[in-house]
Amino acid sequence: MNEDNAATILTALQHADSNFPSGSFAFSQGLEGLASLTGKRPGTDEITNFVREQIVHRWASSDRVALAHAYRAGDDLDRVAEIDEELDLSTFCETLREGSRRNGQALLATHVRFGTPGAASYRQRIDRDTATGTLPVVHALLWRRLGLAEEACVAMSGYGLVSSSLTAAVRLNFVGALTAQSMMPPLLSLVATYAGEPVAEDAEICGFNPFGEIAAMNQAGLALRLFSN
Amino acid sequence: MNQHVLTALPDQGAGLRPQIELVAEKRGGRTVLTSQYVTYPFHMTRPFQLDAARADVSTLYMQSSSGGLYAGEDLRLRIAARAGANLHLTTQASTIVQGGERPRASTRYDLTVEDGAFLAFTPDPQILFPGSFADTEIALSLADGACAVISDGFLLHDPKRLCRAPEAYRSVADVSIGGRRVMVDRQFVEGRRLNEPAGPLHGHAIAGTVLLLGFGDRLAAAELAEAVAGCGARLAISALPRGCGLGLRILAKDGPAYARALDAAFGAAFLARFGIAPAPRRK
Repeated sequence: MNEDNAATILTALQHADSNFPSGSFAFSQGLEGLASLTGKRPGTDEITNFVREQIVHRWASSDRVALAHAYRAGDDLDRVAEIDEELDLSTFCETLREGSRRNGQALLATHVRFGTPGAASYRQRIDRDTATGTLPVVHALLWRRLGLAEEACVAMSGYGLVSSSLTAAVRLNFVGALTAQSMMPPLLSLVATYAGEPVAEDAEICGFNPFGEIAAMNQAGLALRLFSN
Repeated sequence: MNQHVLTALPDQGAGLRPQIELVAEKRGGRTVLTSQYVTYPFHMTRPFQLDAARADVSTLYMQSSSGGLYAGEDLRLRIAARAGANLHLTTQASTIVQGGERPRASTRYDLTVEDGAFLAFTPDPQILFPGSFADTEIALSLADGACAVISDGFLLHDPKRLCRAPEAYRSVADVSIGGRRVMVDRQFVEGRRLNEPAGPLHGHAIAGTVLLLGFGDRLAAAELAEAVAGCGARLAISALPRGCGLGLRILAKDGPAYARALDAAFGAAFLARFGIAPAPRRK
């Protein structure tokens, strides 16, 4: 490995790390609602299937597509903002929609403080209500400017989905930390498959995840919950 | 992996006259059709006034005269509810979507609801046969002060029980209010995913969505939740983007449970709009 490649990997590790001060709230993706929906505490199979569904039926065709389109828009912030709005308008479930906005905007605020190129100008667009700040689009905007390739950005986004979901599972006491780690490889393998598949230029932002959405909407109505989404 | 790169169909039929063109207007305390063009493969009933206390609400049943949707079809419907008109468009039964070579069967709805008007479009779920690809696009333009109920859904059917899946399902609802785009619900799934034991249907045979748009404070999520509770389907409600309304996702094991959920959602919207419960829409 040459020094440049090592530096790129280390940059990706830094920014995908859950210790990165993103200011974000943890995503449970509706995992908390799953328990109340099924009436029982989910085990490893149920959690793995739930996260797998999020990857296949929402992230791969929605977040990943928006991220790739926004990445390719490059410095054309008008186009980035269009994709940002499209993702927001096409997110049916309010908790997922608001969570994506909140986390995207929080991450952007961190990068404004770091002085990451492009962060401040996009923040101004959000302040003027001409951009939305969904998380996948903010990822594309910022990570591209850190020199990361599109495929790496997609992989990092997918890693974030898996990592935050399993972190939520641990915090909800559904599984232990060791078990959660043992659940990661097959899910990350699925993410890797999608990261290696180029997003078509004319791909639509879409999805089909009714059960997961019902779980997430159900979560919003829980009297006592750990996660906002 | 994405065998059907998820793109809109080329607009091959652009410029051609739709198979259904309807204009509903309020005349003399009733909602009447002032323009009506219906051709193969559709048949439309006359307007019925089913709600005795609201004779200004007209209900139309749309029927297929061809036995269903066929591979390669590209059908269009253009329906307008002019200012103050109240129109309910539904179906008498589910429509079969047949499989075949190049199976994509497209139906495009161009719906316009003017100021103070009400439009409900609540078809029965499409029946997806093995190898079928139902592709539905609904473009809905609401004026400020108008309201609408829109549903779309499907039912899996494998008559020979060969565990054969549909090819795909695509459903898009693109909504504008007062000329401003407020939401797009774009669902797509490859059929083979629907047959997977751990697939997105979780053992349900029917999936659907209801959008209740433009009702504002007249229809709260809690009221809708109360209306649909106990219908026997797995469902949940969400506020939709830009405050445009409420959305309902439904998973049901069987047709009656889905129908109860759809009827309950329509009933809640009807009550919010007209102050009375709707009469049953017999099928």
